[in-house]
Amino acid sequence: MTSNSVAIVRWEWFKLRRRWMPWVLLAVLIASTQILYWAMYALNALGELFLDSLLLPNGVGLGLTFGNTVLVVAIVIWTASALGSEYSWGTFRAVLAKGAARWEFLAAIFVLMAATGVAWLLVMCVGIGASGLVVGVIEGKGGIATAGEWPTMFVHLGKSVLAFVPYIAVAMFFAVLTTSANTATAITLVYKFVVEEAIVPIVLVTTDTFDAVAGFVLGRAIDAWLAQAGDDGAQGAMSAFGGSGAATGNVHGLVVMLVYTTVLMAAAVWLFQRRDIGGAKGA
Amino acid sequence: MNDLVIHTQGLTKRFGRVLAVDQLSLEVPRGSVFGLLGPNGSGKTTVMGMLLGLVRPTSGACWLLGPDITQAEALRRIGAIIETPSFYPYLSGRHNLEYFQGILGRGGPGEVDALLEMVGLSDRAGDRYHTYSLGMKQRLGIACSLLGGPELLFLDEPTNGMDPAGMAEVRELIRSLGDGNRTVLLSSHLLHEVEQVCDSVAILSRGKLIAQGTVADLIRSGERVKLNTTNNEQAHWILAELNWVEDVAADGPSLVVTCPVARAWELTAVLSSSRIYVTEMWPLRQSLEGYFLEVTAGDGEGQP
Repeated sequence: MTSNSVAIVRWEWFKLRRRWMPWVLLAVLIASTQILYWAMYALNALGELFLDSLLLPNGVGLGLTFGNTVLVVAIVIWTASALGSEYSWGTFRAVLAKGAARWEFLAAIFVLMAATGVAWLLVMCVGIGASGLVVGVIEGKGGIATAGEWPTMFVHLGKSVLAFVPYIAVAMFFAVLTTSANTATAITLVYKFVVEEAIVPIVLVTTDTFDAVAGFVLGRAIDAWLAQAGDDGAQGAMSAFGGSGAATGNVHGLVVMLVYTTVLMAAAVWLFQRRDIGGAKGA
Repeated sequence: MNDLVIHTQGLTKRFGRVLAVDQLSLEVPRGSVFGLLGPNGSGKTTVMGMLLGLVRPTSGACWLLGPDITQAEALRRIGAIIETPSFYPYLSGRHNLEYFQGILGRGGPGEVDALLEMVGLSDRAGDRYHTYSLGMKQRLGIACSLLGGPELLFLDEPTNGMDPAGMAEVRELIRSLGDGNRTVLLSSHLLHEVEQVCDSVAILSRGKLIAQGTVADLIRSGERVKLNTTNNEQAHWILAELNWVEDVAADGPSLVVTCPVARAWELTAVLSSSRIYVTEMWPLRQSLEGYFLEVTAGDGEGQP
């Protein structure tokens, strides 16, 4: 990035951190993961789950399993809002008239969204970790699981950092395409939860025509990337890719994620460069 | 070329089937207040948008500040308000200016406070932008456009929404901004404002440049002389034959002759040589508004 791009990132952060939305979304993330965590603890108290999976370090991995989904929703809303609001307020015109290059502005938003997602993820993990310690104390286990694997937790955390990034690109692309925060949020979430989570599995169950391309659907690629050795979730994507073992699935998932991110960002920049920038559109 | 700050050559913009700007060739000299006039929909804002790189021209070319200066470099030396000022509603006036100063990458630490003071917003600088009145938003827009000490200012309807006292202050400010080496491109629907503030104007109609020149020259071009004579009918024919008289029209018991007021004495000389005598004569000086309405008659919505 050029020094000018770095300056834009800095000033975008100056501006965006003063909005309520990132803090509200962070609160929602913490609350939802804590509610789910303590609900699982309550179930565990009924003897349905192993206590070790809730304690550190295993609890963080477990928390990330459901936290990742909430994180994707939050980052999509935040990204679409950060970009779409510029159209509704007409502020793109003021910013670009000050000499900021269009691609630099989009790159700055992308970097800031990714950084925000990482920060949210870390706060979420700290929250789950703290809850794990509390549970350990309550259960008289000293807070740490007897069969805990710290490296596995860090690998899971590291993979989760990259897992939401493609959805930033998806949200940015639709925000530029539709010039609306609400429409971009709706389209991206429908793509994630209706197309990827509902339509694609139904299509795959009813016909084997699309088996060969199933591994190239973003959601399945991310599942493959997040999968640990021996996870069932990785098998579908791995078999679709024709590989064997979790490592192959991971690499395939990562490549697909990178391709989605690069192509969608390039498309967003291309569209943004070509289009005329108008005034405020209203909320 | 070095004395020009804006140069356009055949600049054209088409929105689908609508031709918004048609082959506009415009030259704006350095160190003046230049007015851009035209009825609603005549293409003024589109022209400003193209100059600022916000709107892609369909064809033609333009440059700002000099032919060898890149657009990105030029934009850092330019301030602009296009239509209604656009700021972040959740930020205060001061934070908005600090943000734009940061994006611009120019200006000292005390500049924001000095500009807020200059536009009379110091007391409300900490309040969120969405609580500002339209006049205050305009003032903040003017302050923002002055960040970094621009060489060229684009002001699109800068007094919109202001009270009369505020408008007078802003006009005075614009006039002072245009002194020296700085150039102001002012688009306004208030013709008397343009007449008071601008040195030169360009008039657009349906995307085309229909007149350009100094305000004094344009007003002079519409000068008329009204006169009564001892024989109006014969005088009409005699004066209509003069090649420096644009038009002669009957106006009740008088004749209205379109010609430079400075040559009115020649009218009396010509008529008296034909034994027709002028009994009354008075100059009709046209305002810029009169000139504007004349040249844009029937165009657009009839409003500047």
